[in-house]
Amino acid sequence: MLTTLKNINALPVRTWRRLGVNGETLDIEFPEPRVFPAPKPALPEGITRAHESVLVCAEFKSALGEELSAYTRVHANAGVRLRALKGRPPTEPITASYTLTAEHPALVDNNVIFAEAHSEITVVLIYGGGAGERGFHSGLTRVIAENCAVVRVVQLQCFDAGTRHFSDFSAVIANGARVELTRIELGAGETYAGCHMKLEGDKSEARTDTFYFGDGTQTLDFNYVARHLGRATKSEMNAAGALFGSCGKTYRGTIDFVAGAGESKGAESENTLLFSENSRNRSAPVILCGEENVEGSHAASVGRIDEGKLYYLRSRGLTETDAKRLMVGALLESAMKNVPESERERLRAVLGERIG
Amino acid sequence: MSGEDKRALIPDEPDDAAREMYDTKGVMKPRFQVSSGLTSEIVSAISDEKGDPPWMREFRQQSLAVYNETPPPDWGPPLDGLDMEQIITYVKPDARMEARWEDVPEEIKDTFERLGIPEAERTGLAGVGAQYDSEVVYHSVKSEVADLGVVYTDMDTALKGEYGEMVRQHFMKILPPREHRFMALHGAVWSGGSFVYVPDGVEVTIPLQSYFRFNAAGAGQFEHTLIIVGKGSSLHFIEGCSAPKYNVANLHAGCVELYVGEGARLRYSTIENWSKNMYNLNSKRAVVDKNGIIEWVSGSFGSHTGCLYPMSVLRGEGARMDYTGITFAGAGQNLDTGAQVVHAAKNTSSRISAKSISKGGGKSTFRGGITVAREATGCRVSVSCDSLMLDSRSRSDTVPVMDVRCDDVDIGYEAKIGRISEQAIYYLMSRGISEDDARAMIVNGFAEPISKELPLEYAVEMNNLISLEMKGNT
Amino acid sequence: MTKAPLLQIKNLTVAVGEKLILRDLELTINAGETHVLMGQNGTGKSTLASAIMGSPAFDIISGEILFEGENITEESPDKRARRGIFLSFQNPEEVPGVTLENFLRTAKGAVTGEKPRLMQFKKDLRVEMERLGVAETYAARELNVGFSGGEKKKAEILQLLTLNPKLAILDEADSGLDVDAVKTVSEGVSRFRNEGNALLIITHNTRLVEGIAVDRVHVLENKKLALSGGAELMRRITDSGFAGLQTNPDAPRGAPKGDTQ
Repeated sequence: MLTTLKNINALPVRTWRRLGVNGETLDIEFPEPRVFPAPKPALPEGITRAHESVLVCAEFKSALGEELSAYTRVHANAGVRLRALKGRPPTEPITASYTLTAEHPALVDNNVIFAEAHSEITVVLIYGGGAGERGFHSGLTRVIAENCAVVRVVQLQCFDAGTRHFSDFSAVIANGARVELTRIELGAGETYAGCHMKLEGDKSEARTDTFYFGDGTQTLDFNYVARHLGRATKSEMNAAGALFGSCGKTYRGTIDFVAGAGESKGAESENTLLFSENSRNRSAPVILCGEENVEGSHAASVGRIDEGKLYYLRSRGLTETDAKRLMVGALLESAMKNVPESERERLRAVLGERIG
Repeated sequence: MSGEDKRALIPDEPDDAAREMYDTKGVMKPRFQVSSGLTSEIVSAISDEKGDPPWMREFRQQSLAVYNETPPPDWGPPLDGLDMEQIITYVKPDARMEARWEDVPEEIKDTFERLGIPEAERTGLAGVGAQYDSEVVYHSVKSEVADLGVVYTDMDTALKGEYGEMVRQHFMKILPPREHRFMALHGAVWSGGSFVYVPDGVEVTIPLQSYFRFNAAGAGQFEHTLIIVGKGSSLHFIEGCSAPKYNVANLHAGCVELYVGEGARLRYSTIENWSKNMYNLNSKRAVVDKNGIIEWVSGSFGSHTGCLYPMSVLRGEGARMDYTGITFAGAGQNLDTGAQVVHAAKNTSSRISAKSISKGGGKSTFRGGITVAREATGCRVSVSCDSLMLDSRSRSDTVPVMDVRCDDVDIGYEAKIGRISEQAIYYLMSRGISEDDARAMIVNGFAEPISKELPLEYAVEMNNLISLEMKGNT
Repeated sequence: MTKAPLLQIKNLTVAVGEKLILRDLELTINAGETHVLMGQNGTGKSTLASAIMGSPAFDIISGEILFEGENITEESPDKRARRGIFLSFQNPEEVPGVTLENFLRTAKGAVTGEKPRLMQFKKDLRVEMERLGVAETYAARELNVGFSGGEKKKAEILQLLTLNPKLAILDEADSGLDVDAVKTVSEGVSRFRNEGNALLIITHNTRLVEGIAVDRVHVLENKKLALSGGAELMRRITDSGFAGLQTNPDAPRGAPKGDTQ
C-alpha cells in the first residue's frame, strides 16, 4: 500500500518554506508484514525481557513523525524488549544484529528499554545488508530511564545503498537519569532519523552523538529535539559528518527550554565537511527558550577541509585520499565514545573503503 | 570632540518626557482618507487621488488580485489581531509636500519638532524627509549634496518626474508582489516613501534621513523606499519610525528596495519604535553588485507584532553584506526579526550579528536564512546570535537555517542564550551602582555593538529606549 | 564619647548552601589602620571579604557587621559601597559593552552622589592610569573584557584610587603579577592610604605589603581568626609557613591596635 506521510522530521517551529527544513512529505510503500529472522540476544544477569506495556506510564513524542511511529509499533517484525533491574551493576552491552536479504528485505523493529532506578544498560543495534530497491527499515526505540538510571543506545547502520531507512528514538528521562544515543549512519539510500529526548526529571541528562556519511545520491535527514522540562537538566547534541557525491543532508537540532527548567544547560554542535560541489547541506540549529535561568549554545561549522591542515598532512607524505580518510575518520572517532571496541574497527574499515 | 567623547555624553537616565514624546498624538485632521478595508474601488480611489500613471494604476490592481489569492504565511507570529477590513489604507494629511520647514503646517511641525527631526537635520544630515501618515510632508536636501547629482525626493515626485522611468524599471522588481501576501498588499495600496539616486562615483559623506510618523488610528502605512547607489558611490541612509499608541491595530507594511552598484557601499540604519498596537510587517531587500557592500543596522523596539528580515542578494562577485541588529521585546510584544542572505556569486561574504532581549512576557525570535548557491564558491559566512532573557515569563527563540549547495565555503555559526550574570550585577553594585542601574548598564553594554554603529542622535535614542524598557514595571 | 570603629564584625557565621565557612568570627578595624589577613587556601579569606561587601552568593547565618557603628549586615552591596567600602576582586567580572571610563564615572557619581564633570574626570583618570602604567587606551576598552590577569588587578587598583573609599579590602590584589607589577600595585595602595581610611589586605605573601606600614596581621584557620598579631607575625609566616605557628583558639581575635599577644 502506498501511503503519503506529511511532516516527517518536522522542525518544531516552521520557517520559510524555500529553505526546505519544515519537514518532508513522503510517499511510502509499506512492505507486507512478515516475520524477520533474528536471534534473540542472550540476557546477562540483571536484565530481563520486558513487555511493551511497561511504557504506558510515560508519554512519548516522536521527532520523526507520529504516523510513522504508529506504523512501526503496529507492524513490527522484530525488536528487543529489555528491562534493567533496579540497582544492578552494569553489564556487557546487549547486541542485536539485523541483516536485510532478498528473502527478508523489510525490517520493522520496535525496541523497548525500561531502566529501573539506579540501573545501567547499553544496547547495541546493528543494521546491515540490503535487497536493492526493496530494502526497507523502520525502527523505533523507546526508552524510559527511571531515577538515576543510565541508558546507552548505539545504532550502527551500514545498509546497502538502495535501502530506505527510518529510525526513530524517543526517551523519557527521570530525576538524575541519563540517556545517550549514538548513531553512525554509513549506508542506506535514504535515511530519516528522529530523536526526541524528554528531560522530565530534575538533573536528568541526555546526549547524542551522530555521524553521517554520504557519497552518492543519498538523502540524510535528521531531526533531534532535547526538551528540557525538569530543573538543572543537561543536554548535549553533537553531530558530524562528511558529504561526497551529490547527496543531500538536512540536520535539525532543537534545544527547547520550557518555563520551569531553571538551571538547565543545552549545547549543540555540528561539524560538516564538504567534498563535493554537488551536495546540498542544510542545517537548522534552533533554540527555543521560555526560561530565564538557562544556558543554551549552538555552534556549527560547514566547509571544506582546512587547506592548512591538508597541506600539513601532505607535507608528511600522506596522499590526498589518506588525508581525507584521516580527517573524516577523526569525525567518526568523535562519535564512537559508546561504540563497543569490537565494532569500531569494522566501522573504520567500512568508512575507509568508501573514501577513495 | 571625538566620537568617543561624545558618547560619554549619552545620558544614563532617560528623559522622563521621552515616552511621552513618542506617545503624544498630533491633532491634524486628514484632508482625504479612504474607507477601511480593501476593495478594487478603494485601490482605484488611491490611484485617482494620487494621479497615478497608467502602469501604476494597473500594477495596483494586479497586486490586489495577488493579495486576494495569497494565503497568510504559515509561520511566524500570529496575525489574528490584524483585520484588514478595519484598516484604513490611505490617510492623506492636509498638507502639501514642502521643501522649507517653515511651510509645513504647525500641527505636523509640532509633532516632528517634539521628535527632534529638524534639529537632527541641523546637526549634520545631508537631507531629511518626513512622512506623516500616508504622505511625505517635507523633503529637503543640502545643496552641496544636490550639486553632486544626488536625488533625494518623495516617491510621488520621482514617479511623475524625470526619474519616472527609473522608478518604473526598479519598482517592486526585487520585492515582487507575488512573494507574499503583505508585499502584494503593499503593491496595491502603497503611498509615500523616498526615492534616492546616487550617481556613479559620488561619495555622500553625511547621512540622509527619512522619518515616518504614524498619526491616524486604525490606519496602515505603506511607504515605498527605493534607493539606487551607482558604481563606486557610497551612502548612509537612516530611517526612523514612531507612532502614538492607540487601542486599535495599526499596520505598517512598507517596502525598501536597495540597489547597490559595483564597488558601491550603502548603509541602511533603522531605529523602529512604532507604538505597541502596530503590526510591523515590513519587507526590505538589497541586491548587491560586484564588490559592493550593503550594511544593515537595525534596532527594533516598538510594535505589537514585528516581522522584519532584511534580505541581501549578493549577485556580484566579491559582494558583501553585514547585518548588526538588536531587538528588545517587552510586555505584549512579539518581535520576529532577523536577516536573510543569498550568496549567488563567487567570493561573496556575509556577517550577521544579532542580539535580542526579552522582558516582561515579551517574545523575541531571531529568524535567519542563509542560502549559498552552487556558483558561490569561496564564500564566507559568519553568524552569531546572542539572546538575553530577563525573566521567565518571556520567550526567546532562535531559528536560523543554512542551506548550502556548494562545497567551497567557510561557514561559522554560533548562538548563545542566557541571562544577566548575578556575579556581574554584584560586581557593579560593589562599586556603588544600584541593582536597577547595574542591570540597565549590563543591558546597554549588551546593545553597545549596535549602538556604536549608529550616529550619535540615534545611539542616544536607543540608549533612552532601552532604559525606558528596563524601567517599565511590566 | 569614643568614635565607633570603622569596621566591626561580631560573631559572624557565614555559609554557602549547606557548608559553613566562617563561624563566630570577630574583627575590628579602626580608621588609620592596615590589617593583613593570611591563611591557607580554602580557609575562607575571600568569603570574609565577600561577606563584608555583601555578596549574594553567601548566607550570613548569624552575627553582625557594623560600619561606623551602623549595622550593615542586611544592606545591598551598592549601599555599602556608598558608605565607603571597597573590595578589590580576585577575579573581576567582565562586563561587555561598558567602557572602563564610563563605568568608573558612573560609579564615582553613585558613590559621591554627584556625577563628576566629564573633562575633569577624564584628566584625573588619565593621570592615575599613567601612574599605574595602564595604557590610556584602556579607558575606552570594555570593562575587564580581554584584560590579562595583571591588567585586571591594575584596573581594580585604578577603581580603588578613583572611588577613594574609607575601607579598602584587597583580595589577592597581587596574585599572578610579576615583580614590577606588584611594585606598581603596592605604590598605588600606598597612595590611597591616609590617616582617615583603612586597609584589609588578603594576601599569600609579603611582597605587596612591603613599604606599607602594617598594624595587624590575622591568620584565618578553622573558620575563624585563629591568630592575630603585629607585623612580626607576617615575617614568621613567611619564614616558617602556617604549619610552624602555634595557634591558640583562645587568643583575642582581631583585637584592636596595641593589644599584642
